[in-house]
Amino acid sequence: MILSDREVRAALERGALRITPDPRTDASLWSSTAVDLRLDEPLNTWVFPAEKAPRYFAPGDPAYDLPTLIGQFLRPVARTDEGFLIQPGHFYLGWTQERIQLPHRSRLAARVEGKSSLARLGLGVHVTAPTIHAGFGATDLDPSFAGNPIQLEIWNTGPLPVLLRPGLAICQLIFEWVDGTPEQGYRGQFAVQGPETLPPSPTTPARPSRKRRPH
Amino acid sequence: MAAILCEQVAPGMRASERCVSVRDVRGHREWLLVEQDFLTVRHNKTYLPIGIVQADQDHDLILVEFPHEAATGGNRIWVRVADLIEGNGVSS
Repeated sequence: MILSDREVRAALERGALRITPDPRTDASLWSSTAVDLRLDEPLNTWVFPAEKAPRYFAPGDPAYDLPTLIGQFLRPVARTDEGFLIQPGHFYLGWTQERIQLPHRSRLAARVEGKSSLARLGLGVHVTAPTIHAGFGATDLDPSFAGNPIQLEIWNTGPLPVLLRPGLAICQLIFEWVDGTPEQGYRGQFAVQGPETLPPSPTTPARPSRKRRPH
Repeated sequence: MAAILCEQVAPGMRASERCVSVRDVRGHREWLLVEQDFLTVRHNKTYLPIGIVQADQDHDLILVEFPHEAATGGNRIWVRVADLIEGNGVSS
């Protein structure tokens, strides 16, 4: 079930959801079932030089080295006085100014979606990965932590160069109730079996099996 | 809430971000991009906040869920209890 603007405000007030800066101070960010989020800086793009480049990138491979990938192939996009020029056919990585926290106990999840005004120009803000799961940016280790920003995958499928200014309402966040309590909420109430095949470890030998509680 | 030991902490995609790796019980490495201030430092070690899903008490293993999908695609991994700290900073 999608939350209305009133329900989102109520969730903010009772601490079930945290958005920083607080959107309640800016009425222009709201619609009946969504909160707009604004573009932050910087904007990055992948570059792939023909020379010295690997044949492919495989995120699931054991040798996948994200820091090296970032260091070698990610570049900041130059910002003019006007903003960032989003070229046709290009892909960019950006962030929202707003930082989000969705505590597990809140039973809230969200979806980041584009704005129709930008979509009509051919601009997308995510690549088929819109879900912000319950627990996003949540920690009780530091009560002052504001949350994590949402990373945006910005792509221009239209023929027009589009100017994006930092602070532009670039996407919207739609909140939904989570039906039931996620397993994380149970904090391991069920005794379960781990991976079937464990590597040998001198520090954690298997204990004699205990009688398990019924599920 | 708990946190898991980070094997590596590297620069992320912007100044405020870090790219961290954690290893599961089989040694498989997962990479995550998070804000630097999301991470917790205890005794010169860096920890990533995670959610606890389930426990295998026979082997001292915990199934944890990342705060968001790892760059390598994983959401949940089995880790050793010894690699976790609880919210008060005490090792599990």
